[in-house]
Amino acid sequence: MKRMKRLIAVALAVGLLMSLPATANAASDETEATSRPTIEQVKERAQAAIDRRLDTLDTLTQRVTDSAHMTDAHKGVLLGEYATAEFGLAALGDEIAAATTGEELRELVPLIAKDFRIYLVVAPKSREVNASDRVGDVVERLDEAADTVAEAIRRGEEAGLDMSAAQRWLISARDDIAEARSTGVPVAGDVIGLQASDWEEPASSALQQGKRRLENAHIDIHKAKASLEKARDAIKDAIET
Amino acid sequence: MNTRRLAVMVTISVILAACTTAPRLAAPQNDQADPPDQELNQKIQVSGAEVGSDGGTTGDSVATQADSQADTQADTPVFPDGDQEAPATTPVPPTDTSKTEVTQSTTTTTDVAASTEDIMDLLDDLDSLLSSLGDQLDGLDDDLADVETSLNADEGDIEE
Repeated sequence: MKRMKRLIAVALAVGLLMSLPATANAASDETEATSRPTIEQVKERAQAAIDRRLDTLDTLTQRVTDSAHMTDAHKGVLLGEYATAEFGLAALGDEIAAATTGEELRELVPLIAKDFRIYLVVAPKSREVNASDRVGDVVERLDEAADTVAEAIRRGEEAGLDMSAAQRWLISARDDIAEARSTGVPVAGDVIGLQASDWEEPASSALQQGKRRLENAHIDIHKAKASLEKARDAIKDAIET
Repeated sequence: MNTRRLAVMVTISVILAACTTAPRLAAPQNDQADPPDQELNQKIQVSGAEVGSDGGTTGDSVATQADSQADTQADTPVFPDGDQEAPATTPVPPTDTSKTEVTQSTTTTTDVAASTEDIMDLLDDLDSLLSSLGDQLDGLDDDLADVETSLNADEGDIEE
């Protein structure tokens, strides 16, 4: 009797163990069926992605249009690209909306990113062009300030004042201005031609290098401004003594 | 004898007459030897012109003073005793020289003051430029922050 009970228990245990994978597979199939998006859901997500990019392009268009320091040439290039991208995204949205199979959507939807690269190329390069042109603008103002210092020094020397300290600061400022110009101003030209097809290389490296050069120019500009302020103080000291 | 006496007396008379008339003849000759007023004026004018060339307007005014003084001097007999060396030692009056020096030093001080004022104006312009640069640098800070943010963005999961 005892042996009989053992056999029954073992048989139940084995049966239970054998039935577990089948139960698990059934549950997995059920979950997959509920998590897989429908065609309409894919279309909605795609349209949201397109709308987000169109909003970004609108923002970029506004900023470029309103920019007080971006050159007209750069504005023309960027605004033209934005318009082309908006047109292309709208056309792609129409194609996605018209798709009827999952296969079509798997082919079309990734193009929202790949064909336009609004976030990896267009936006960063626009920011760098904007910053680079501002560096150009700032450098011109620094030149103007340096010329003003030079004129003050010239008149001071004519009046017999000791302008040697101011002269040294002016030379330092001129060096920093030249450095800022040579590192920061060319960035716009280096990155403005980058296209979506340039991702990941050479676009990624060019954009990272542009960022580093702009940061260096930023430092040089601060140094130049500080040197001009020192020159101004030295001139005042020369007058007072 | 009488003839001899007569001859001696005539000779003495002639000599006396000659002695009497000699000063009268000499005086016009001395007058002719005096430096002409024109020459005197020219020297003073040259002197005035030299001062004028150093001091511009101030020098011109000094030259004008010298001219007027020279004119006054020329109206009166300058060298009645006929001393020909005197004109060479006729300089611009010492008072005129001191006036010129004072005027020149005043001009220099004025130039320095004007230069200082110009320099201060330039420094005011410089302050304005540096101030506007400060605004631009704030903008550049924002631009660089935008660059940093944009480089950290991605395209999302739309590619998957």
